[in-house]
Amino acid sequence: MSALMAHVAGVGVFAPGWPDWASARAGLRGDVAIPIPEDIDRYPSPAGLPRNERRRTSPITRIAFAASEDALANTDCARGDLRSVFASCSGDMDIVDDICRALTEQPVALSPTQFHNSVHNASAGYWGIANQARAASTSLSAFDASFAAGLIEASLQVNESSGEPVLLVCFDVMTRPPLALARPVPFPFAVAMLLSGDPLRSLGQLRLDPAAPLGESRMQGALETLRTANPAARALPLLELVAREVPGEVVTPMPSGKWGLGMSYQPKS
Amino acid sequence: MPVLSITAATVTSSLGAGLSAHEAALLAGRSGLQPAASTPGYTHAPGWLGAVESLDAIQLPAGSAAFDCRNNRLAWHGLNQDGFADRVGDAVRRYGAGRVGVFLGTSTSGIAQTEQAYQAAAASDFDALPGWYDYRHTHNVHSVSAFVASALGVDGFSQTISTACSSSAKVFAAAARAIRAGVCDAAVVGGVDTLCETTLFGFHALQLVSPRACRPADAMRDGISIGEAAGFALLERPEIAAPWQLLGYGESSDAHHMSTPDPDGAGARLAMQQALQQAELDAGSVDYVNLHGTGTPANDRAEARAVEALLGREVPCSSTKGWTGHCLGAAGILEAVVGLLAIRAGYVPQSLNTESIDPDIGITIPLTGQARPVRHVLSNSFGFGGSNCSLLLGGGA
Repeated sequence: MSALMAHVAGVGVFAPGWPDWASARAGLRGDVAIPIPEDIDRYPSPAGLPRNERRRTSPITRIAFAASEDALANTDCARGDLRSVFASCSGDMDIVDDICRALTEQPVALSPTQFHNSVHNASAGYWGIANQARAASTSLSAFDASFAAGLIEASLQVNESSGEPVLLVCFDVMTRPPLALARPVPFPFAVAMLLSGDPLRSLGQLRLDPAAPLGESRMQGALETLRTANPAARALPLLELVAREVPGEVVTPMPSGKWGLGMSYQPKS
Repeated sequence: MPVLSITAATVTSSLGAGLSAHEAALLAGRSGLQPAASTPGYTHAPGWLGAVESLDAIQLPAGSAAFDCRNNRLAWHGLNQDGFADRVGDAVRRYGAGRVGVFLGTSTSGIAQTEQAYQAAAASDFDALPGWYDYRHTHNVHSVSAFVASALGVDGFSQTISTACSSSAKVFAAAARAIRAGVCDAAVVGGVDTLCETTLFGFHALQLVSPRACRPADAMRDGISIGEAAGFALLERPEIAAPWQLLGYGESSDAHHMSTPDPDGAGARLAMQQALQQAELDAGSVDYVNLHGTGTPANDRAEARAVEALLGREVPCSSTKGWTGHCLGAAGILEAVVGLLAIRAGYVPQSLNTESIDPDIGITIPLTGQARPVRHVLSNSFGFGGSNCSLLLGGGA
């Protein structure tokens, strides 16, 4: 059995009331109230894309970009060489709704742009275009354990590349009716983490145990509501340790639901 | 040192169920494609299709009712070929259920269930979805891995990769990382994608569907034919004796456009180069390239440029999409298994349906199958969003 190690070099967040990690960090440290989760009025425009491409991006790509830009804001890593892991439970549920509605009409006429944006790796594709990144990028899902799976995959990639930085972004949009009836996700949430093997550019060290006993770290009050309402927000117990700059161990279920992912965090002293 | 041993493999597509059906079709030059107009259930769709017969009759194992949909039926049908499920059972007994991982690729998973639910909901202006509809166990990207893990009794790390048409090639890389780091001792990798209206009409909207059976590398090629497939491989540590080996893999991004490849194929070349480097092989060691070769003008031209720049013009290269159609999220595993069959049979399959090779394509495209020793196969899979993956496969040591 092996433990996976990675250093956290940067964190980014985009969620209702939390436009960036600084505001999420203040909330997680208890310095300010936790925002009431609701939909976002305006999704930020994704940086780095040509105007035509920018116009075509949907909310899911915008939240993935916002969190990723935030995580990289104070780092100097070369974006063109940066590997990336995009983890999302459901991908673009707005497009699923649009396409499935359009398929009920005769004659069937789908939007070509919507179709190419419907792939699970659309946000990753736009990220590569915006940053001229030819490095490896993967897009995955493990349903409610998508953050756990993404964190393991990103750490495995750090391990594989002898410590090169890897961008992890985990994100899901809110769902609208009628899909919200079958899969309610009441608000969008995106979290990004820059992981690497470099102890010099580190907020703290992360140690993962993918064979921990099954368990699920819970939070208090409004944070617990946030944590359970969007699969990407399953990152919050770990983010709380990073925000408070305290050592600790939290756990979230593995994709199998038979084991836990133990996440030990040791802030840089 | 190989990256991993491939101790078992199987594939099911429009060519039939299992390895022998595929080998026989490849040797005979028999395509699985037929006009959509004569494909039961899909007569309203454009182009030609590579459909798997009789999926309606497949019953999932006991306790799996929530997972029931075309995609998971094809997964179950595929798992039951070539004794594959039994081989995984052996691995579970050897390593323990928690030490065997599941890494599958899919592009659209069971989205056909959502399409049908919306058809049922249209009459009520989408006020409600029908009671039978189960998003998590059918449509969600991870449904196929959750079902396969449950059906095989496997509890190790699992994830579903969805990078469009490179999905089920990239699973080999993900599994290699997990095994190398000790997260798993063995991994079930593969991919499953099934016909659905989203892709049939989506590719049509992009004007990428050929009105006839696709003709990769042909001067007159005019688009893809869509197919469906399920394929699986069992991967174990490289010291385990096996009929085949994964020698290298490469992953890259185009950083060019969402649905059009970089015309110079720079990202594709990078993926192939990484695979060769990891395998510690030079360009002359590749005996056959299974091209992504979708049959669109842009893909085949860009890919040929990338192959020529890296491997030169001599190595025989063919796309097998004229046999199976483009199986999207299952294309990577389907074509990796075709590569394994090429090694096993000592046979380079031709570019089926291709009549007159595009003069802009300078690489060697065989128009008839060739019996010759095949030691090393490079298999390319490229997807929307500019996602590229190349696998280097070899025979057992």
